[in-house]
Amino acid sequence: MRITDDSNYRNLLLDIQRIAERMQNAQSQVSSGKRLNRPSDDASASADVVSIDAERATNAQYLDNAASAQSRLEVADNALDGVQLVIERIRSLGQLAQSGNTPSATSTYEINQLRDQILSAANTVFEGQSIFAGSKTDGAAYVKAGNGTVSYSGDSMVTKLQTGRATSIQSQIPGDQIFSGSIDIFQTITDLMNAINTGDKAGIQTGVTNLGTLSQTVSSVRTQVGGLINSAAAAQSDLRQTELTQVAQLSRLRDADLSRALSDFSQSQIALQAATAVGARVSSISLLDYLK
Amino acid sequence: MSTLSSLSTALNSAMSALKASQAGLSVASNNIANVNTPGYSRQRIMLQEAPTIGDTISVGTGVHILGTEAIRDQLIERRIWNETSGKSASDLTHQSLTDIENLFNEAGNTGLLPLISNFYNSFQKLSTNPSSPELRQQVISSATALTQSINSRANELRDMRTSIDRSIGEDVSKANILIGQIAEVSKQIHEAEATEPANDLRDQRTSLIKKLSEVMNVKELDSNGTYQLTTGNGRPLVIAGTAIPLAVGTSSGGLTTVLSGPHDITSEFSSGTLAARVALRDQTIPKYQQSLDQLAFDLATQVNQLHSVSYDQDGNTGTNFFNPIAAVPGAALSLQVNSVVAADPRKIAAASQPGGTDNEAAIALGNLVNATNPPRGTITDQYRGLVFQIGSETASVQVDFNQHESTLTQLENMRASLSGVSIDEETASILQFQRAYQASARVITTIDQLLQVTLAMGTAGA
Repeated sequence: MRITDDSNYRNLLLDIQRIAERMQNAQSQVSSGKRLNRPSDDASASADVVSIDAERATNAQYLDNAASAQSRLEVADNALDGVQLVIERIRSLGQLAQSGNTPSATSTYEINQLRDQILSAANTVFEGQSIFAGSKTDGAAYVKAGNGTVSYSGDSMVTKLQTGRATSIQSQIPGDQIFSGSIDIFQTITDLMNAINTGDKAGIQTGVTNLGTLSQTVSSVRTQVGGLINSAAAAQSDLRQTELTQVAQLSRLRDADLSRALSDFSQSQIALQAATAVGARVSSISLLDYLK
Repeated sequence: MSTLSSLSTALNSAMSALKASQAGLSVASNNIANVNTPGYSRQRIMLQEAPTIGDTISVGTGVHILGTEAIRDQLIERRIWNETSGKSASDLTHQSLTDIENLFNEAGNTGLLPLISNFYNSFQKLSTNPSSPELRQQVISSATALTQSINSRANELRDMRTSIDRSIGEDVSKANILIGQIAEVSKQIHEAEATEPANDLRDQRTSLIKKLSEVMNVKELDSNGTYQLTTGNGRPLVIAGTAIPLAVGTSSGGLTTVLSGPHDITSEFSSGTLAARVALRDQTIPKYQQSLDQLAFDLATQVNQLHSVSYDQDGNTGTNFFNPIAAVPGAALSLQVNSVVAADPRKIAAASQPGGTDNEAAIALGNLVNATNPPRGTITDQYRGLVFQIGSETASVQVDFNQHESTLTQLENMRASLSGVSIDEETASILQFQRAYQASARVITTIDQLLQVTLAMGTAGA
């Protein structure tokens, strides 16, 4: 083949361009730490990154939801723990009154205080929400009227939070399943105080029995809440596991293999040096140098 | 034959040799001068021995200069034009696809995907406390960020398409100027070649056609003294020195069309920037617009369907979250949060019961992130498809461009190997003619001395 000056330069230029392109590619991988800098770097990996990124964002929200459910349930459990102690105390005060050992005024004074404690527990607020008011969380669950009667102003809705694609966890238990179900705790206590005041033994007996039932209700709700806390915790650990897998997948898909990128870079650097050196040599050889 | 006449014959042939050497030197010098001229084909001097004379012994009468010939292979030139069209088309397509790719690049921090996720997650957050004004406001903010981001991408696609449409007209003007020049040069070639080959004009025409090839692929027919240049599909551009310029029209849809006489040839081009622009305008960009429109349409429709049967904080129902979108085309441009809802976050329907206090609709709206819309899948699936499509298309055009570039370089090298100037070769040729010139000059000096001897002989004899 006849070689001309023109083709020497053209080949040199194309080679240098291609090497420079490879160098730039390696350089951007090193500086960004990413293998995928644009979708065309690897279209199917980029598409996978989109799906996994989306799942990861949704997963993070599920994790938040599960944590929020757990916090709510723990607050509820704490409140109910207190309520159970108070019920037991009222029950024993009732039993004492039944045996006639304490002055009725002393008993009813304390019972009245304890009733307010239960009311305040039933109106427990978490992050501005009444956790025992069903879905009507922005108001108090139980309202005490001027005459002392307490009524439920929540509803019977069971609130859940989404903790997975197809799973949700109950985060709140409405008050009408605890304090004002088949037996109303506040009415029971009011009736008990009246019975003590009037010395109505049968009435006191009914009150004490009802309080026993209520104590069992609270206890069984606490068992339910404990179960829910466990599943919220389990959901979180599952979601964290998923998150770790997703992060690993993302890293595999889009993070640059630094050692490879660096070796690519130095390889192209050597190639570029060689190409320019040879190019300079070739163009310096001319017949003219030998004709004097 | 007399001595004098044979000496003068020798003098004449030495003179012709001097002329031939001079001509050879000037051809070599011209070649060197054009070593870097694009499209230049090296020339060679064509010499022929002069006819013999004499009756007893025949002697040649020197050398004839027939002219110069240019060394070129029209076949290689045509392949170069072809490859030039292919390269310029894939170069332009690659640039535009890179622009589109930037709109859907999730590698940086400005992607669309986080906004999609945030939007659905904002409903999930709202489900943890549906009566919170902050969480309601957050739903509006993340929805607005999403709609604005989709709108601006749709806007950019539309602007890109408009500017490409404008460039089609500019391409045609550029082509018409070149067609006019090619016609003019063809006319000159026709006139000049009545006497001798018009090497420089042919080089000039070849370069002009190469420039025209960047705009469109062309075919050349040069036979029986009639020169024709047509589009790849055979529409005439130059016939026998007359330019037949293309014209620009407007389609019923308001887009630029390319006309050859009465024929609309807009979609006839198979390569060159014109073909690339038409394909981008009519196929590539509309395809991405359609994907984005479909995504926006499905997003708004799904959310509205659920939102309009759910209850807001005041127990009202029947409100759309997004302004309802009637048709898929243009959906991405018009996607917007219903201004009634945007102005009053209490109007977000988070509840599934008329009481308006529960969180079930908020959960359901958040769960739409996983709602499939057969056959297109979830909104994220649709976006994934879009990213894959732009990524693979850009990558394949890049490969295409590299191939054209390599082939073109190879062809240019083949051309250079045949038609390019080699300084070494020309130096050798200068040396060759220099020596021939010196030898001829020597011959003339010798004949001069012999003639003097002959003339002195005459004087002595008289």
